[in-house]
Amino acid sequence: MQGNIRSFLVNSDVAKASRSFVCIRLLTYENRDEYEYMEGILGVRAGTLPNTVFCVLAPDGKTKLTRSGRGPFQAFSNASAMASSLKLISAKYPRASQNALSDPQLPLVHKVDVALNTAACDNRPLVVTVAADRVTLAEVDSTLLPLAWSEEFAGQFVFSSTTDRKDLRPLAGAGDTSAILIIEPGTFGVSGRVMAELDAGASGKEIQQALATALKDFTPQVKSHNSHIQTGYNLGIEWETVVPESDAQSVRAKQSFRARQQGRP
Amino acid sequence: MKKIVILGTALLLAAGTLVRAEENSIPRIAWYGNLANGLAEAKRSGRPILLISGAPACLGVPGVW
Repeated sequence: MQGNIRSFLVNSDVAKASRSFVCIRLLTYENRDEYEYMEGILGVRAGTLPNTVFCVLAPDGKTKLTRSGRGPFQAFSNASAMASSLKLISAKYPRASQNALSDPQLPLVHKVDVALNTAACDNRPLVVTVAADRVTLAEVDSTLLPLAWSEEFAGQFVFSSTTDRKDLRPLAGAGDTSAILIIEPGTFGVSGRVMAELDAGASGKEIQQALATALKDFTPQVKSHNSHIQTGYNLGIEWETVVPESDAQSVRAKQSFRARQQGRP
Repeated sequence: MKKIVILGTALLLAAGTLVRAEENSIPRIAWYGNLANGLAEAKRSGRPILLISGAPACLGVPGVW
């Protein structure tokens, strides 16, 4: 995601204004149905979706309330203007503010490996819930729910859940019986370290304390794109997308970068 | 030459984006990472939708937007 997009999204006023919205951040090439939905939002030819998409929509998920484009910079002049516009938009939806931070579900990323990468990209800790069956998993998630949507923790963690403990293989230190794991993602988001883990019987207070401690102990990494990409390439770390990447500029840049690397003595 | 220009553009975009470490305590957007769940919540709650998408890799390398 380009730095100018990031500058909008990490703005505190934008974050505060976002509480009256359902904020959906998709991973552009990780789901075919989502890919096609975003093609519709952007109005681009099939198979040409760029790697970033932005729009503010009505609760129906169809009606555009701002111009759609590659980023918020195409709809707002700066982050402050975005925050002001979000407040004006949400004021038109009377239920918006009263329903803030009271969601009945966790804001999950659908797969643990994708969530781990997302957490690395976001420079945030990851919370994974795990149980042998859906019923138990729902019980664990329900304990976590009010904390995930509290002012203290909303937006501070990436969440994922699974009923398959094999999904925990990239997470060093994950116990065999833990139900809630708090993870520090590795630099490239292909591995992670367990910061804390709790069993299914943990109380809300115990979970709150574990989350607070993890947040206090978590040190966001400093990354520069250039050195990150170079090191990742040298280590042979590559992310395979579910849907083939279709951003022509990005594909050409990737091909050129790799050709240049391979041509190095 | 065209390839060099494209690569240069991509790297300039990237180079200008030093991802700085941030404070843990600042307010952050709470993102749904799943379209179906997000749309369902928007319908249930009557809240408008802030939608964004990004690829969790740059030039094929994960761990950075």
